[in-house]
Parts: sequence; C-alpha cells; structure tokens
Amino acid sequence: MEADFLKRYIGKCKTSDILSVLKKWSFLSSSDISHLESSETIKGPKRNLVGFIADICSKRDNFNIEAVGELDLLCLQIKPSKCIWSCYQLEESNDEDEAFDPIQLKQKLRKHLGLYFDPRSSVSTILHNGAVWMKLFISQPRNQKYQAPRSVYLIHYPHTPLILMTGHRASIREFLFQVLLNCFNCKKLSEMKLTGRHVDSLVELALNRWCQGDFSKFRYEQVQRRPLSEILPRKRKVDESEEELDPNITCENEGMKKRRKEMLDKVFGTNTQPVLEKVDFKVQVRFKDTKNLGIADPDVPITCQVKFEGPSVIEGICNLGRCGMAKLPLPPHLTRITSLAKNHFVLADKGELDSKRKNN
Amino acid sequence: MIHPFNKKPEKKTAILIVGSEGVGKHALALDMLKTEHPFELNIRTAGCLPLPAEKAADRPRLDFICFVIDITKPDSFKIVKESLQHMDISYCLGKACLVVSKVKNSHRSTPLESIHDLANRLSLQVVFGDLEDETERLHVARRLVSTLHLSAGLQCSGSAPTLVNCVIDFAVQTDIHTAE
Amino acid sequence: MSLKKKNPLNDAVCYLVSADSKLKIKGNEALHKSLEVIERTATSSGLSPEQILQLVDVAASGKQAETVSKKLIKLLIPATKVPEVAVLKAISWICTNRPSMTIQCLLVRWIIVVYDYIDGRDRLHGLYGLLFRFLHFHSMLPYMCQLLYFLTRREDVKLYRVRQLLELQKNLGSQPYLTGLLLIYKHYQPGLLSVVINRKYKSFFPTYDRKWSAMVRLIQEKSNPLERSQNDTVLERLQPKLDTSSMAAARKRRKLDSIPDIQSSASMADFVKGGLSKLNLLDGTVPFIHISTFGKLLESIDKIEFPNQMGAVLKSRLLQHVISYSSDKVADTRFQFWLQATLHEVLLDYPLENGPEYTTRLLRSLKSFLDFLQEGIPVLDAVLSSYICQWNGLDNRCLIFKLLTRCRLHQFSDFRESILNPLGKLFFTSSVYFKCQTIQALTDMLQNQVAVERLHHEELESYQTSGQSESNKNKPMSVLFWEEDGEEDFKTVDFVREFVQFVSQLCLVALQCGKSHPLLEHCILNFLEMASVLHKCYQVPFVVFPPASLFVWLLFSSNPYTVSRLCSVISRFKFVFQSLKIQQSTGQLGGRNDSFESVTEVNKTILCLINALWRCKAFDHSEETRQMEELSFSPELVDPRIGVDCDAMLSAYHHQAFSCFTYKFIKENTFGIKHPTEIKVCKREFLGYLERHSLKGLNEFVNSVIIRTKPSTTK
Repeated sequence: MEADFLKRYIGKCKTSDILSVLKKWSFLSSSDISHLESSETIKGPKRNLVGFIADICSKRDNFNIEAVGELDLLCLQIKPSKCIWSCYQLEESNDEDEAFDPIQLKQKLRKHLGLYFDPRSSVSTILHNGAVWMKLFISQPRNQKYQAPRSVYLIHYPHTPLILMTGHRASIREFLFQVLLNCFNCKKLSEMKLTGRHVDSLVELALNRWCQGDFSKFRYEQVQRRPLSEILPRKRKVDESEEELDPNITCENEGMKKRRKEMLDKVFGTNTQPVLEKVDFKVQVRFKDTKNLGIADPDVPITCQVKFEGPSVIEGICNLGRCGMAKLPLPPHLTRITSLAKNHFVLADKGELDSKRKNN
Repeated sequence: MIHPFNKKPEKKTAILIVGSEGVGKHALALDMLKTEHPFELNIRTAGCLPLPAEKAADRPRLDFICFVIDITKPDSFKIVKESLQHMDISYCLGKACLVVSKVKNSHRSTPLESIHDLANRLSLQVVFGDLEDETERLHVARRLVSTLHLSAGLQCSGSAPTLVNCVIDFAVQTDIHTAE
Repeated sequence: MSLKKKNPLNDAVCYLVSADSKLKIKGNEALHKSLEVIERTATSSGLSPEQILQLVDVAASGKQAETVSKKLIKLLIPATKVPEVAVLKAISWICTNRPSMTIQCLLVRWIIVVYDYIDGRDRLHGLYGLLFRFLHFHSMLPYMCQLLYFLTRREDVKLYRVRQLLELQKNLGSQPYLTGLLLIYKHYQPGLLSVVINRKYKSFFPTYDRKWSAMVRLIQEKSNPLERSQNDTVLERLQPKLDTSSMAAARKRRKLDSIPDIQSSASMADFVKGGLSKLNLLDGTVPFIHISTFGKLLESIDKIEFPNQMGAVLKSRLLQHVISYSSDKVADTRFQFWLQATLHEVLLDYPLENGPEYTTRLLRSLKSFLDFLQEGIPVLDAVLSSYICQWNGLDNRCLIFKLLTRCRLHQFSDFRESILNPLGKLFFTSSVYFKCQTIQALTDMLQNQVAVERLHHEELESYQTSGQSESNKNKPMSVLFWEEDGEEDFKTVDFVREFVQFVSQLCLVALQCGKSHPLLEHCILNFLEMASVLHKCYQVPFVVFPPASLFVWLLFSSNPYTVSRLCSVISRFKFVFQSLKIQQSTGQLGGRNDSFESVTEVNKTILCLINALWRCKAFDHSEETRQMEELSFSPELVDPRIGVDCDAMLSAYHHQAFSCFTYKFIKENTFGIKHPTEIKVCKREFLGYLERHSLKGLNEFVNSVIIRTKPSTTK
C-alpha cells in the first residue's frame, strides 16, 4: 500500500528531479542513496527506477504512510503550481508566542484529525523556506460509503494568520475547518478570496496586506528583498529588449510610449508583478451613462461577471496599458488588485453594498 | 497627412512601418537591416497614422510605407484602415504595401476578402508572411527591401509606377518594349 | 471423441443443462464441482462450439442463480470458433428480459469479447435494427454502442437512427461511445450528419474486459496457433485495423495524415474463410478492401466497389489503377469532393492546426497521384488559385509549383485571372531564385499543356460535338475528370499563344528588374527552347513566336552561353516555320495558317540578330531592321573613345559575352591577328573556335542563315 503511493508520487516527478528529492527526504540513509546512484536502474526507464526505490523503502521497518507523505510534499515543492491554492486567514488566534515546532504541529493535527475522520488518516509536515507544508491524508469516517483517501495540502507561515490550502471536497469542508481551528487554537477561519497557483505571489500579496495595512499601496519597487521568499524581485524583461535599438530604426511613438510607461510605473512599479492566473469581478452597478439612458433601467443594477484569465493577469493588465490597448490611467479597481490582495471582487454601488453587509 | 514629395530627398532611403503594438514591426525592421541592401536604409515605426507632431521636424522624407496587419486581431485591420486616410494618395502609386501576418492561423478575425478588396481599391501590393516565424519574417523583409529598391527609384530600369504596373495590374500593362 | 470418453467436462455440462429448476448454491457439491471442471477446461484449452451453444442457454436463461450465470458467461471461452447461433441465442435471451440487467450486459460484453471468433456475422447483422433498440437501456448503452460499431455497414446508416443517436447524445451529453458510433456513421454517410464530431477522446470504447479478452486470445492462440498467425498476417496486410485498439492508433495517425485509411465493415474473417468467390455479394461487386494484389485486381476488374474513403486513392496505388480506368462518374465526383474539402481545410482554412508536415505529406501524395494519372484535377486548380492569393511564396514552394504545372487547360482570360496574375504579383517582388523557379514551372506547365492536356481537351471537344448528333456516344476514355457540357469552348492555339506572350512579358520584366543573372537567363532560354520545340516534339500544328524584344534583350547578355543558346533557339524557330510552310503547301495543316502572321516578325528578328552578330550593322536604319532603334539604343549614346565602330560593337568578336574567347583566340594566334577588329577576315574560323568551346549556337545560326546568301528564307 505504502509502496504503491510512493510509486505514484515519485512517478509524477521528472527523472532528473528524483534523486535530489530523495536526498532531501530524511527517510533513506546516505548509503541507500549511494547504492541507488551506483546502480544501473538510474539510467533506465523511470518505471524501473521507481520500482527499485519502492523495493528499497519497503525493506525498511519504519516505512509508513507519513514518510511517504513527506516525500509527496517534497515532490510538490518542486512544482507547487500543480495545485490551485486558496488563502485563508486565521482570526482571533489565542496563542501569541508559542514556540513553533512542526513535529508538535503534526501530532496536534493527527490528534484532531482522528476526532473527525477515520483514524487511518495521516498527517505529514515539513519545514520549507520558513513555512510549514502539511499534507492531510484524509479517509472518510467509517459509517460513510468508502471513498479513496484524499490529500489536502496546506502551507502555513508560523506566527502569521495565513494558511494556504488546496481544493477539497465540500463534504469534508466543515470538519476540516474545525480541525484547523482546534489545532491552531483560533475561532474563525475566513476566506481571503485570493486563489492562484503561484504560491510565492500569493504569500507576498497576502502578507503585504497585513504588514502595510489596508490602505497602503503595494509597492514592489520599495521592497528590495522580500522577507519570505528567496526570489528577488525581477526587472521586466521587455524593457531590455526594447533598448536593443539599431540607430537606423526610429520609433515615431516613442514619446507616447515613454509617457505611458511612466504612468504605469507610478502605479505598478518597475518590477514584475505578482502572478495571478485569474481575476474576476462581479459587477452589480446601476447604469450611469446619461447619454444612452434609454437602453437600461437606471434603477435596476446590471449584473454581470468580468473575468481576466491568463498566465499572469496583473502583468497582462500592465502590458495592455503599455501597448495602448487600455485607456490610461487605469481605473482603481484594476490598479489596486495587488494592494487589496484579492482576486475575486464584487463591484456594487455604495449604498447597495452597505445594505448587503448589514443583512449579513 | 504625410506626403512622399513634401520634403527634400535625402541620402538615406526611409521606410515607415505602421501597425498596431505587438505585430512584430521592430523585428521586421531589424530583419530588413540584416538583409543585404545596396542603399542606406532608415526605418521608422509607428503605431498608427497620423504621426505625432512632436517629431515632425527631424522626420525624413518617407519613401515607402508598409502597413502591417495581424489577421488574428480585429483591431489591427481597423487601425490600418484608419491610418490609410492620413496618407497622401500618391503613395498608392507603388510606394506603399500591406504585410499580412499570421494568415496560417485558424483564428482569423479579418476576412481575407476585405484585405484583398482594400488592396485592390488602393492598388496596394500585398505580402503574406507570418512575422512571428523567423524564416518567413526574413523572407518578407527581403521582399520589402527589393520592392523598396525599385520603388525608391534606386534602380535604373524601373520606378514606383513600374511596380504598380507589374504588381497590381499586369493584365493591363501594354508591352512597352515590343514593336506595335 | 470427447463424447465417447464421457469425460468429466461433458458430465458437468450435461448436469447444468439438465437442471430444470434453480439449483441450490449452498452446499451443492455437484454444482460446485461441475463449475470447477468447466473453469479448468475453459481456462486451459477453451470450450468447443457445441459446449458453448449448450452453456449459453444455461447462462442466459436466468434460470440459475446470478452468481452461477455470471461465472458461466465469463467461462464461455471458445477453443476454436463461437457458433453464430450461440450469439443469436444470447441476444434472444436478452430480448426475453428474463435474465437480470447485469446478466444482459454481461452477455453483450461477452459478444464483444469473442466478436472476432464468431464463425459468421451475417445473421447477427440481420439483428442490427433490433440491437439498435437496446440503446434505450442506459446500463447497456456503452457495450451496445461498441457492438453496433463493429456491426455497422453502410446500408445501416439511416436518418432515423442518426436522429435517435443525436437525441441520446442530447440527453446524456457527449459520451465517448456515442461519439464513436456517430463517427462511424459519419464515415459511411457524411451527408446525413452535419454535426461536428469532436475528437477529444483517446479511444471511444475503453477495453472494459481486458483480462477476459486476453484470456480468450491466449486460448485461441494455444488451440490453433498456425491458423491464428496466418489470419493475423492476412488481416494485417489487408486491413491494418479491425478492433478499437487500433482505432486509437488510427486517430493518432490522423493527426499526421489527412489521407484516410480504408475501413470496411465487410469482415475479414469472411474473406479468410470463404475466399473471394463467396464475397460476391448480392449485386456481384467486390469491396475494394479484398483486393490485395494487382492479379486480384485483374480478376475482378469489372466488379470492384469503391471504398467509402475515397481519399484513400492518394495512398493506394491499386486504387489509383482502379479509378484511372473506371468510368464511374460518382467515384470521380466523390473524390473531387473529398479533395476539395481536405485541401480547403489544409491549405486555406486552418493551415496551422495540423503542422506543416501534414500539409506537405498531403501535397506530396497528391503530386505523385497526378504524376500517375497524367491529368489535372479541376478542383485542385480552383483551390490552388485561391491559395496562391494568400501564399507567402515560401511554404511547400516546390510542391506548389509542381502541382501548378499540372493545371488543366482553361479559357486563357480565366486562367490568367485565377492563376497567372496572382503568381505574377508574387513574382515581381520576389528574389531572383523565386523568379527562376516560377519561369521553370511555367515552362513545365506549357509542356504539360501542350503534350498532355491538349489531347484531353481535344478529345472532350470532339466528344461534345459528336454528343449532340448521336445519343450513344463513346465516352472520353483518357479523361477522368470531366463534366457533361462543362468544358469551356476555346482553342488550344489561342491559349498557347497568349500563354507564351504572357510568360515572355514576365521574363522581360524579370530581366529588366534584376541585373542579368545567369540562372535567370538560363531559365528564360529553357522557356524559349520549349516554345520552339512544341511543333517538333509534340506535333503541335502551329508555332508561337515570343516577342522579339526578349531576343534582343538577351542579345545584350554578358554570358557567352546565353548568346549562343539564343542563336540556336532562333535558328530552331526558323526551321519550325520552314517545316510548317512545307506542311501547309502539302495540305497537312488543313488550311490552318494562323502561325504565319508572325513570319514578318521572325524575319525581322533574324535579320536584326544576324546584322548585329555577323554583319556589323547593328544599328542599321533600313526599313526592315528597326529593332534596335525601338529599344532606344542609338549609336550616338556610345562613347566614341572606344574606337570601335558602334555598328560593329555587337558583332561576334566584339561582343562583351565573347570577349574572353576573342582574347584567347588572339592569344593562340593561329592567324597572326593582333586586334579583335582583324578577326573580321577570319570570322568563320572564329565561329569554329567558339564551337569547339561548346558554343555551337552561333555557328549553327550563321550557317542556317548565311549559306543561302538570302537572309530571309521563309518569305
């Protein structure tokens, strides 16, 4: 069983990554790894290699599902964009300065998990770049129909209220939240409406909001080194390629381009923007154009949804402005995405929204 | 309004490439400079016509205008169509052409017929070639340079009107060399 | 033999068959024992047809307990063949609705598993309509779809069935098995299904019973290895795919290849069993799929039925033979329809969807088909004419030119509008190599049209004129693609004349725009040579003389071979005119004298060339030879410092092209000459000298013109 899971997880890695993952994994001893390196299978097809590794591991006594889970986490760390992550905020936390220990957290999680789910469920934790990566391997409670255990991955930065979680089934949502609340000792877990695949960007956006306050502007250009990720802010590549100009080529719209760039730099800064794959706006506003009033009833709000999707939406919006395809200056709901650290918005008239909030 | 003859001729031959952002004007310009050309070449690029007034003073006489249309972008054709209104009609005598990019793409937003129609009405030469593909771009650049060579009057055997005659309506061309 | 021995297997079967009522399972030793025996035999060597027949009844009747029936069905592994009756029995049991739904599904699955080993399928196919009704049972739907997919023949595809399937698809959403069945319907009757079938599925029918099928195959191989392997080779050779697993492979191939493979429902097992004679079905036709060799083709040459995939013509040489002799108009039309749709898709609509190799492969096979057929295809011309308008002049250049050369004869004004003008637009702004290729292609086109298409056209013409008089007319045998009354009415001579004029003008512009490029001159001369030999090599009863300006322009070339070949071309024209004159006088031309309008021009050109090259009178102002003047070369323009009489400047020994030979000639100094001008006295020797250096043209030309003392011979 464990071996099967191990095969599945390693099978998803690239062959070139397997060895480095195994080295990071504390389970195999260095002699095992050198044995593996010297063997012939390392050059053969991945299938054989994976089988070989599974054989080595199966021989060990303490080979259990938690160790395999750790390996899975290590594989995930190579490419965290495999999952869609959602950000959640832990609110009203009670423990202020408790020392943080992943092992303790694991035990705590396991304990709480056992209360709500099948005791076969397991937990693995790993510390990576200052964050705890957790894998909850959840089996359904016994009385329900049998379903294959599902994995839920979590990333938590200690001493911050931030938790990143991958998608999970709605049926286990309530229990899962309860487990987390108990475990992190807080009262409420609220969704931040910030989802995406790029973990670093999500973390940057979420943390920035708390450390700078709701109304501060997100300014990458001021932050030379980010506290939590190893990646330094990157300069845009586009600028460099445009500088490679032949003296015989002159751009007639240079002045305009320069002006546009200045305006955009003022808003977004000169560095690459954090990566969000999707930004959507639910619009519920009244029709305000007085000229074409005939086409819509001014009292009824128009409901529609606007989605921006792409490999990096904010950068894309930036580029639209740079190409002159979007009118500058850009409206605040587009420029403030980074500062608000959200990618699902509801745009509504002011009174409308207030009354809604009251109702809630 | 730009005019082919409202400025003094210069030693350098100037070509203007007009096309919306991101169609590959710059790459095309670089490729044109890369190809062998027996004359000095000065390339200007612009997003659309009319050209901004700020640079009017140091702008040379433009010998040739090349409009780039990305067939997958509806805007691209619209911009070119609007820009054509700001060009003197004498450019249509063999001093302008259309470059149509990305024809080999299933997501065409502009029908080819309307491009052909536009070209026929204005007697413009049409060059097809994907500017994102390196070999095709180089091919287009070569063809543009050789066209420019003729149309700028740098070849003793022909001039811009020859080009119109040959390219646009060879059918009507009377055989100027044969007797009768 | 097994019956005599009374072996335990027979006992077991008998026990099960004879049981009237439901047998007890718990504690029934006999039942367990007999099942065990059957299992052992079935999994080791398979069951005989009779046993299968008996056990199907037991298993499908629903008499026994569910578990027993299930087990039995799973054990119906044939040792050799499955009798068709057994399958029919299973279906009839399904119809009674006595067995439970699970058993019914299992039976259908069993039929799918053993489908390849059923000894006959015609009676099974007879139940097609019945089986189709079962599609309403959702639990059976995937399996039934697969079974129908196997069974479907062309005549089964009916509009009401298509409607039902579409209705099902509407209710259930897009399901792979439904898509699969619809796809085969679309294969057979594209006209009935206008819906776009998306091809996102990897395979339509996942092998539900992989282990079971593997077991059946294993037993089959064990029991008759020889026959099996033979079957395999025959199957492979004739039809690379029958089952669904190869369907996926075919789809993969489709991505690379637009030409369809031949698929047919006529089962290969029938073929293997009964041979060719049995297959002459009701109407006595032989499906093409059974034709594997040229010999077989000859055997049943008059009865071959075209496959459903006409596009396969491009792939199969045999089918090309068939279509080339067949007079089946429907087949031609179907092929043209397919070709038009495919080319449209590949070249015009979504060219990049499939990658460039895809297009290249299609064009290449089309080219080889055209080479085989020796005839142009009208729809190809049409598609090419639209393609040229958006061609970048780079993609598949050679193939496009090769296909263009195979164009049919059209009215010239149409032809110029659709092919030549767009080609010309590309021509003028392209590099000299493109120009050379174009001229070469046009030369080949001229040859093809005079040598091949002209004959087709004449045949069609005579057919149409004769067709008005008699009702029973002999069909144009050499032409495959033609339409009743569809051919345009025009004369070949007009076409050729205008074509030659057009290409000459192209050549002139090319010479004018580029500096004199040896390759370009070579190609132009190739064209002129082709124009000059039309009469001699292809028995064309007329000759077309290109504009004289082209000759004069080439005269100024700096390449000695150009000038030499030019001379031989012009002397060849002279001979053609002479021989035509002779034919006319003997009445062979049938009163046709339209070629002789250009005689004056020929004479003028000859005179002009001989004056320039031989007589040192290049700028002679006499009435007949004003050629040079028209080119605005006036002697005043020549720099007087050169010290050579300007009239003599183009003479053979002063000519820029021959200057190196002149120099060497003087160096060798056989005649004690110090200056080129002195060669005048030994002009003939100089010509001989040139001839020794492979420049024969000049000598040939001078000999043909001068010896007779009168320059103008044809007048």
